[in-house]
Amino acid sequence: MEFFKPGFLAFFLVAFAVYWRLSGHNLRMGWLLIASAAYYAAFSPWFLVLLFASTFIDYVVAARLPSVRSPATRKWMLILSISVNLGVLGFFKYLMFALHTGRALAGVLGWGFDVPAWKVVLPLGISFYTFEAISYVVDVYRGKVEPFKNLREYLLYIMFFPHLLAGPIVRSHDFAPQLRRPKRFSWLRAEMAAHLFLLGLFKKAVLGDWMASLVDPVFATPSAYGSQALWLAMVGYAVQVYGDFSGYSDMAIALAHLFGFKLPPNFQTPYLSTSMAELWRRWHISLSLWLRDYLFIPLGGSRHGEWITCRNLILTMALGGLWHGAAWNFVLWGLYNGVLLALGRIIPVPNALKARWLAPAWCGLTFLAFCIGLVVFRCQTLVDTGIMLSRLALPVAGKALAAEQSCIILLALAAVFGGGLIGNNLDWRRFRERLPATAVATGLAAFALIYVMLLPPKASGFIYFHF
Amino acid sequence: MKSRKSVRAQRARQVLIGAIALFLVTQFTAALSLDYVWPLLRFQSAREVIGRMVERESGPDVIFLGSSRMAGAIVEPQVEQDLARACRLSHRLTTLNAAVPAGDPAAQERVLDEALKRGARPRLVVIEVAPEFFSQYGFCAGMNGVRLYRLHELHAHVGVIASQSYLGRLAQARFVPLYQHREQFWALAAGRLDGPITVSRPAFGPPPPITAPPVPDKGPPTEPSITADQLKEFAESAWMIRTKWLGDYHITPGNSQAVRRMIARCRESGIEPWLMTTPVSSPHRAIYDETIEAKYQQVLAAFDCRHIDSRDWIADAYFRDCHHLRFEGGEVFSRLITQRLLAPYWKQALQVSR
Repeated sequence: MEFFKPGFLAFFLVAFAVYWRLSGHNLRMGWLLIASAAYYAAFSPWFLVLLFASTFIDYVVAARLPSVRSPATRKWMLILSISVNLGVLGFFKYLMFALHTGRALAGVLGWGFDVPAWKVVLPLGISFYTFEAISYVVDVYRGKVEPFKNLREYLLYIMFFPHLLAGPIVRSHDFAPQLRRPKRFSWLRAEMAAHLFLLGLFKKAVLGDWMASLVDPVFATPSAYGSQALWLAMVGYAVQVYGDFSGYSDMAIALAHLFGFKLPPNFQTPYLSTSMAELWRRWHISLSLWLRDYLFIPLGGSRHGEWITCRNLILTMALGGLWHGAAWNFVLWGLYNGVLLALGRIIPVPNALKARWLAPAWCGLTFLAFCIGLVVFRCQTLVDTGIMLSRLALPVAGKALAAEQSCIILLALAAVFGGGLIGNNLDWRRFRERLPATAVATGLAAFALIYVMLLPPKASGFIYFHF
Repeated sequence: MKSRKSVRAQRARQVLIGAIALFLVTQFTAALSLDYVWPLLRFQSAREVIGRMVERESGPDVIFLGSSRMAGAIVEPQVEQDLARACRLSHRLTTLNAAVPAGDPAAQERVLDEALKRGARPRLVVIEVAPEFFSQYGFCAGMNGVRLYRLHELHAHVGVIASQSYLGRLAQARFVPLYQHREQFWALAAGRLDGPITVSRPAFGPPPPITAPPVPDKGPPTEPSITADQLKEFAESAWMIRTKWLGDYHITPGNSQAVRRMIARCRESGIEPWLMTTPVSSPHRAIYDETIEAKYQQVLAAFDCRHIDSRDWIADAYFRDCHHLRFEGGEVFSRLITQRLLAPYWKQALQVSR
């Protein structure tokens, strides 16, 4: 159930109304947990059973850790918890990938074996809640946070429905205090949430989904298209994935606000970055921070010289790529970004090139570099990736996109950049407060009506639901 | 004196409530407009049928109203050619197959109303009836809730619509019609809507004379074959229909009232109405047990209108499922209905008019 579907709206209205009607903080939290469980079970009750089972082990381990003195036992408990989490994730997400890769490698060595034709269904949100669970247990192990006081708190941390399926990945030290703080309904917060939700709706349903309808045919058969269409499709996909994911994140954050919770931001105008390092500090921020704290730093971080740092960067990004999907193109995408980050570290930029007036050029270059990586990310096969990249580099004739389609993609791109620039330079809240309330209300209603009418005939689903 | 925070909170409340109210009022106004000003905007299949009608030179002489069963049963060119040959007409006689998917009598009544508003004056209207239409399950009510029923009519149908799990779609159509019908609104704005939504009486001219010699009759199509497996599938799907739409069968007034109104409207306008139960396959006929048949005949008798029971006119091989004809089946049925009913009726009508 995507956030802008009527079914979700009906669910949300009930959950919201009952939540604020209940008096007593514990009752509200209990209700929120029930609503979140019902939301997740609506996709499949088995997903809920799996989530309970895998995260219950983490809860028990984290609850026992502070009372265990022996460092070896503590370490083994941590390993157990992480192994269970990664084992569950590995089974559902990577089993078939591993089997197919193994078969391919065995084939090279002259051996053969059959891969069973299993259809392993990927539980929704498993990549996200697994990482949250791991971060929680590791933080308890490190003594950074206290374990949750009871199972209800822990389950709500994992299952809080606005962020359950596609993040943001929330840290327990951010969420736990919010779980304990009694909530009071705030009209200010509700109004802010309404604006944010509409912005997210525009990005996801208008930008993201319309771009999908334009670029999907090109990525399906890139060999049929000429360079013009491929360039536009590449840029269109960059708009799509940004619109889709940042739009979802905005809506999730807005919904959380309506229940009195603050989730961390996940995107901060990443396409206005002037370097890959900056882009990855602004793109899918919660995942980037997770990878930094639980992968990059444990590998040694930047404490052991430039080459080890580069190695750690590349490895972290490669594994981050693998997290996105069980396929080699995701690993390659991760490696590509890792290499760019590493190059950004070791290649010094002359001061003359750091001038402020050159920022747009660096921004364009960074965006282009990221887009090229997205081609690897998006293409269905490595052959298609090769075809597309070669046709991007060298002009080739072929099918072109219609003028109308090209204009839509370029307008969408302008909207992303323009919107980002305006958002960064305008204090939106101050601007709204200067307008009469009627004007703001009319604007909100008008935007909601327009966005609702601009929703494409067929929503393409959140891209990150597949991860 | 109120604090700055409480002033801002009050303003935020005004903004939110104002925005929600404006959103809902706009949607409600759109819903009312779709109900009473442009009813065809949300009834796409009716719009397409009416669109075909208004594009013609002359108004239809025969209108066939019905569901997807009727849609497959009548092949307009076949009827027109056979009639021209049989009656040796000097002017073209046109038929309009105005059947729509899930076209129960409530939907048929809307189509007839829209056709008459736009100047159609057929000599004959054939109205499809079926036991399924009159049962308590109201199997088209869900779709009609979205495309047809006006606000003041909904209360009578909400129960049935809810039982068909169409309540969500109905709520969507009533509360966010701009979302539900956004494609149609954009097509209307771009001038690309498939069919009219406003009533403008077209200038139907006299029927054009027949200038070309009649197309030679190529004979009925060869009867296709049907396998035992296909018949088994027919029986299974017929049984599903029995279970879902005819269990514990009893008649409810809704659709029978719509038929009564159509008959009265036709007679007031000088149009002859016929009722017709369209062909269905033998496995489908088998699901109409004695109780269902008795009640159905009782309803039909009360209409006091000519009824043609053509359920067993067509061999099973001409069906693509238990109750829809293939194209060849439509050709065969069109020939039969013309030969047995329309041609004699027209010959008599022509004699009377001379």
